[in-house]
Amino acid sequence: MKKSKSLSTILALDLHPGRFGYAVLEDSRELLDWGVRRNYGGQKPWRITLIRKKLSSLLSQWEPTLVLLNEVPRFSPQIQRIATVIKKEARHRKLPVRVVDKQGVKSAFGLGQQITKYETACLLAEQIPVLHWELPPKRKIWESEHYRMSVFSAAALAMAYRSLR
Amino acid sequence: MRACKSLPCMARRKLKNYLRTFRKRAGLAQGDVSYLVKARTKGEWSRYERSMRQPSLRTAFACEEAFGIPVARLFAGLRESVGDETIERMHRLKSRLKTTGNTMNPARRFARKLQWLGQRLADRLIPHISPA
Repeated sequence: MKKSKSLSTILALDLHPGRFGYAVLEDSRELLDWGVRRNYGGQKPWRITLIRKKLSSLLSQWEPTLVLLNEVPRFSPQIQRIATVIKKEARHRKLPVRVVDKQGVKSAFGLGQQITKYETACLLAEQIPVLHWELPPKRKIWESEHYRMSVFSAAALAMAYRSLR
Repeated sequence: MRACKSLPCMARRKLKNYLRTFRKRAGLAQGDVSYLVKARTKGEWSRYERSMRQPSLRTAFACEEAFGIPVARLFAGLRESVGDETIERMHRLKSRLKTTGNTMNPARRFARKLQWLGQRLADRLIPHISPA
């Protein structure tokens, strides 16, 4: 019987206190899905249920072989809580979880130079043309970060993981 | 970087369908595509995307036309599993024909059957196409 070519699917998550951006890559180069899932409001137990529900829908649809997370800041209990829920869910499904730190992403894209998040997003939009129209306008100094930047951060995690392997 | 410590085994088969991928690449909403392929509601389209339902042949062809991607590529995983299953059945039919022998059919027809099965199994002309 003819065997199919084996594929790997990476689910990269960029965690924020009220949301997480995600990017699903097949063979580390084909972007299958991307977006932002929000988990605002509600009491703590309900919020955790909401995160688990949103994550499990992603895991069931794309059946990833690896979950990537961004580095969790020490002083953000909300993000730590989300990371714990994700790790638990991944362990339940026997999926490996890897953490990619900020330095790893910067070194993968900046080639030793300092690089901003927006510049990383621009580089990604060039590498993955389907993301080009998702690129938010450059943030003014008085504005907060656009929520779609999470998608780029998540995709950057996956690309950094690929380049650092 | 912690990511580089030990690499997990990352082999798996293709997904059942890539409808969501191609829809998002086109920048279309579920409502837009459900209108294009004449699905009743966007909920129905959502079920197709999540592989909870299989679309009809008519809808599959409509998807092919809408996205400009062959059905075999849109439903790559399904195509692959159906192909594998059919090859498996061809093997079984061949062995069944060999064991039961020629009792019912005329000799030439029986020989043709075996020849055709052997040829198909040797060729294994099942294209496995990636979504790229």
